[in-house]
Amino acid sequence: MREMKALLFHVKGAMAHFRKVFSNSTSLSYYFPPRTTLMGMIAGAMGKERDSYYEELNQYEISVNPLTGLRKIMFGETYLDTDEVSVTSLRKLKQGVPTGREFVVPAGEEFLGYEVVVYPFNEVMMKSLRAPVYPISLGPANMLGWIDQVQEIQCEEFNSISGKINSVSTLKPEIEKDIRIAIEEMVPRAFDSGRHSGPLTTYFLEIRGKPVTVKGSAKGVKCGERNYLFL
Amino acid sequence: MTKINNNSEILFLYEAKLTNPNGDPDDENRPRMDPKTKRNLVSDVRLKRYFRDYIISKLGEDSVWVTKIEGKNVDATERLKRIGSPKDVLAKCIDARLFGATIPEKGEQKGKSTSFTGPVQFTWGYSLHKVDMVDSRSITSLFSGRDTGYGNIGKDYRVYYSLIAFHGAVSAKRAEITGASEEDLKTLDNSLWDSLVTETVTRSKLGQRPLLYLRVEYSSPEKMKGDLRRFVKVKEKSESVRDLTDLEVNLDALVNLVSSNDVIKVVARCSDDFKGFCEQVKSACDEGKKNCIVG
Repeated sequence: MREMKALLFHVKGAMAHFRKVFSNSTSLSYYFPPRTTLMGMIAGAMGKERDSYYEELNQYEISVNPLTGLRKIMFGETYLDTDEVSVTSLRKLKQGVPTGREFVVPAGEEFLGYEVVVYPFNEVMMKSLRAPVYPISLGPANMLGWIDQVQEIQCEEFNSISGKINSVSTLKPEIEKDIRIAIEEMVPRAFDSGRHSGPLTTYFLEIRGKPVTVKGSAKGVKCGERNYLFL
Repeated sequence: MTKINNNSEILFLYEAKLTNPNGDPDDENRPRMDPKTKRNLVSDVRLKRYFRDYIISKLGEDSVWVTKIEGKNVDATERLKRIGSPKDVLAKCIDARLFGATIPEKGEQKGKSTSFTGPVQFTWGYSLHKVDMVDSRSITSLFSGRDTGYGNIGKDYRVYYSLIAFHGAVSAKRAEITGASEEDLKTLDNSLWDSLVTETVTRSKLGQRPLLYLRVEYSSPEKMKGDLRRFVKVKEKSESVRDLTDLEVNLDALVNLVSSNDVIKVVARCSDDFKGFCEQVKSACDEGKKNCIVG
């Protein structure tokens, strides 16, 4: 086992929207920010421009777990039709496109939050997360959030696990009393330079952030008493 | 034009009494509600619409990018020509500079557009307490559409009372890209409040009143505290909230934030109900020798 440092932070906000890559006219949301969204969040904090960071940030492993209970709610919205160049559509003289948008909101608390672990540790990243260049958001720019608890932690790598984990995982959790597992299918993990997502992954998460028991081969880190599997 | 040098954050509180603050088109235009928490929700788009409509009434429709042009058929190509390139949109339209814009480009590629993310972003607003919907919701209209001799019965949903809070952030870094200036921010500071007074005069929007506007400017372009609604504590004094007097609003944490060294400038505006808060902000500013505009 290799002992290495990792970066841990919390990201919080009133509402979130992590658009499912396969949703078309209706914007559905994942329960948690996919690895691609977290990369975008970190890149924004570091002041990197859109599409400029995939290769650099792809070298990092990222783990995420809800800190608070999560719920989804759905609302109707009307989008502007920008398919054609016309001021009539842009200025809403013409009918807009009615659609639904799903949001993630906290269950039982005022704000929702996620714990994020980035491995290996990067000093510049840590400084940027403490003083982000662009505002932090949980999905689109209007889902404003903030970051706290940014810290350096000591961890050990592992390639297989049998026991409790504190993160979203690709391994199926054991059925236990009082856990609420959500399955999120077709979640992107990485972008290539053309902004195409590669294979889409299925993840399991406990929607109140409780630890779950898993067994199998998966990469992750043990940091103190907590085990994190990578997305 | 003065450059925006630092990040700011905004807190805007207003009340909605016997009105529909933001109807959901997918749900018979009922006020947007989180059914589980009974919180009343208002989209950021609704808030920005008030601002845009206000600016149009003051400066004309060419100063706003996303707007309706009522009663006029517009030739699209001519209109775009008049506005010009995406750069011109930013130069002419204050909403594009502040909130950003998606500008379609004419060309071979269908659906191509230029997007700017604006320095000013608002989250969805929500009520700081449980909100009840008005029980009776049927209205009659004499315009039946049919010659039956009777009126039609329609639906009209309203909330009894909602104290709505919006959080906004101003990014100095993003202002560099859209060219938003300190003067634009000043317009936002002044107009958001006024728009809530003058643009809520339609039947479904009457009964809304701004209560408190606060913009705190931080000491650097990388500083942000995050959602300012965290600094507002609201307690419901009675089982059902029908008025501001049924709520106990505690803003102590907000006064502490204003007094902190991270904040260098404050713009605050209070209704009579929150006069005490503005006085506290003013004395905190005087003590810390901060640049404050309190009105």
